[in-house]
Amino acid sequence: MKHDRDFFTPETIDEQVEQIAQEASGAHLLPAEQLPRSFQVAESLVSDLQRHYHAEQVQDVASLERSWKRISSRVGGRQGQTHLTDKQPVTTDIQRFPSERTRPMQKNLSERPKQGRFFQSLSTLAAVLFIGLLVGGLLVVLNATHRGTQTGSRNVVVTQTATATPMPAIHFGHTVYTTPPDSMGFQGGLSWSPDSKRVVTYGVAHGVQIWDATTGAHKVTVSIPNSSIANVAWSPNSQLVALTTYTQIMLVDGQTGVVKHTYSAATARIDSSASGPYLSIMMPISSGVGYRAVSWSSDGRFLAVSVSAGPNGTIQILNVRTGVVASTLPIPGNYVAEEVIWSPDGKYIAASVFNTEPGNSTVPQDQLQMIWVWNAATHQVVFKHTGGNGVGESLAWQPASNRLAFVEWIAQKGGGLTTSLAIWDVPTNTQVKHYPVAASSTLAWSPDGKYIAYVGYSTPVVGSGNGTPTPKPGNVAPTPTPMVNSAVPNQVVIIDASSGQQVYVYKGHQQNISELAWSPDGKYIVSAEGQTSGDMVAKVWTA
Amino acid sequence: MHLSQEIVSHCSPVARLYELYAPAIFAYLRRHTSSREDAEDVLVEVFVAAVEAGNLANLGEKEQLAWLWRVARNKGVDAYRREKFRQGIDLDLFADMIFDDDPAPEQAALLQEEYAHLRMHLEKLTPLQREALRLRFANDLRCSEIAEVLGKREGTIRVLLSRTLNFLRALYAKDQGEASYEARS
Repeated sequence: MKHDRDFFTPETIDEQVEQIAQEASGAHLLPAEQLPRSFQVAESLVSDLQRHYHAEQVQDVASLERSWKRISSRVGGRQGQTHLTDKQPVTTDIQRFPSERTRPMQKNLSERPKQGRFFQSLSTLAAVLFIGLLVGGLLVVLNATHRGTQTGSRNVVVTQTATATPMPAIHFGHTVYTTPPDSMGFQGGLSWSPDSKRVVTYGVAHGVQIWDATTGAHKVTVSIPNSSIANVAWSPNSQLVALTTYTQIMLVDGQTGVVKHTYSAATARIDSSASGPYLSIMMPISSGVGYRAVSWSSDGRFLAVSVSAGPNGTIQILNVRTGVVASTLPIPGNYVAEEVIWSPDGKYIAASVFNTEPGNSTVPQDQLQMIWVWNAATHQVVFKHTGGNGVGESLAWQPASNRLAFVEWIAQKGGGLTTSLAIWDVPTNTQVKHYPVAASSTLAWSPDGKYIAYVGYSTPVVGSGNGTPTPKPGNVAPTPTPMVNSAVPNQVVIIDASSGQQVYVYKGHQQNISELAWSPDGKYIVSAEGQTSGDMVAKVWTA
Repeated sequence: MHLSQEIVSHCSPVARLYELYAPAIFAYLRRHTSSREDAEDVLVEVFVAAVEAGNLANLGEKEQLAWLWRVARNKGVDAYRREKFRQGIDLDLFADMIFDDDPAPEQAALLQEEYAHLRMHLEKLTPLQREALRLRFANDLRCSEIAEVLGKREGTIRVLLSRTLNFLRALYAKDQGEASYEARS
């Protein structure tokens, strides 16, 4: 029998580490006590080592990504117009334009030359490319003409020549799936599985539903009787969905909708009314406890969960396997976190917080809704700024960075509100970009970190203050200080995050858009209606 | 190490090489250059050279790997020589302005209190043991790749890594009150 001291053996050390790491990752829910003791200790060690080196790993991955882009650029700059790849049909490149904008590296490579033995079919490909792009250019023109009658409007120039210049998406803004209407609308976040295959939504009337992203097929409804859902979030391994109710956190199988595990608040107090159970969060006298927002750590081992307890709140970090609170981030003052998001490298936790004493005159107006960020290791609040409104996804980390985007709401002296989309570098506490646009609070980054989609307003609005009309689709630069007092937030506007230039406006919605998410593979956006009346739907469309 | 889908799903031979070998080569370059930027520069040079090497695609996997390592080592040496002739600047003066490249554990680690004991145990290891762990868990390298990076034989790394993990595991077991562990061992 193998001696315990020799648990790790030289012959199988790679396989052992990988097996243990796999077991420790994600949310394997086998109770710890059912694992052999020797394995438990080894798993604990491997998990800690992974976490200890996680920050370095994130930096190295970022370096590798940067280098790859530079390689693409260098090779392309030298070689001109031909292709780097020798396996990718040219026609496929043309058809894939919708996703190219969010896959720049692939796009760059597709435009790169093939050389030497690597790229033996260079001359043939070049000829086919030329012909293909000519045909593609013609298709673009025809498609653009046809799309003039469809939803959405594109504000980018369509390239019609057969060159290697980046071209816009042919099928940009094409709605591929619309959910059945929900009479009470969508709220509580909607979330793509990290593999981009499934979407989870919470419709107040229909409940939590999980479905195939582009078809709505294989839809499952999670059975959670008599409970309002606060938030939903996919696990990093795409297997589980975390749901929060006022009293519980549930982990649900993303394919079957079966509740796999439940954590209950120990001291929950729920009041009742004629319309059902509720938690009187906004009232300082309340002593209720409730879960609100939830966010997975990137390694899938922890959940950051917003907990409200009457006028106060905390953010708890839960060990997914055990449900034990690993640590607690304090929320000073009378604030409760409505949304919580872990930064990509795990160093920070950002939240949209609201003051629970809105009638208290000692609380300035611009501090009623704020964005706060904690250092996850020290538990200190390192960033505070007015912004967000607790509806939808009102803050978003730029992928692979520590920059945070959110919408600032600024009260005007003459009355009314103006909004602007701000990007802040959290470690340095500096504002990187600031675009005065008419935006609701809901926004999302493209996975490549180059674009931001936000919910905009459908009609120009003249506010009561000194604002000017909201920018119309087609404007290159946003109009300063637009007013949003009475317009309808039913458009999704995509801008270039570095310039603020408007790239596209999706007009497929009639009702207010409450939720928004970009698919992790960059191909689609799902947007959902809520916070209004009438039949409300969620739509999946190409981006 | 999980690279982006953009690299993984790319069909070009160079993307395939990059996916397979870039993590280990980058880990090597990080050890042999003075900054992350320099390591990235050399990595780019290596793979641009791979693109421009006409007959690389015709080589077998082992030969491709050997070629990449040879180029990486040569270019790494070139970069080192270039650095020798640079104007010297005390990087400490700009530490906050460049990368937080080697952050203190208390800054980089998430939920540090949960594994503070790990950091304490790591200090008991030799530099080579720590480096092997770093390459295994930060760079996600297997023993054969770690051996390339450290210039050791694969068997040596296997023994080193397994002994290191067993040593740490014993300390963990002790910490966690595995009373019978010591008796058995």
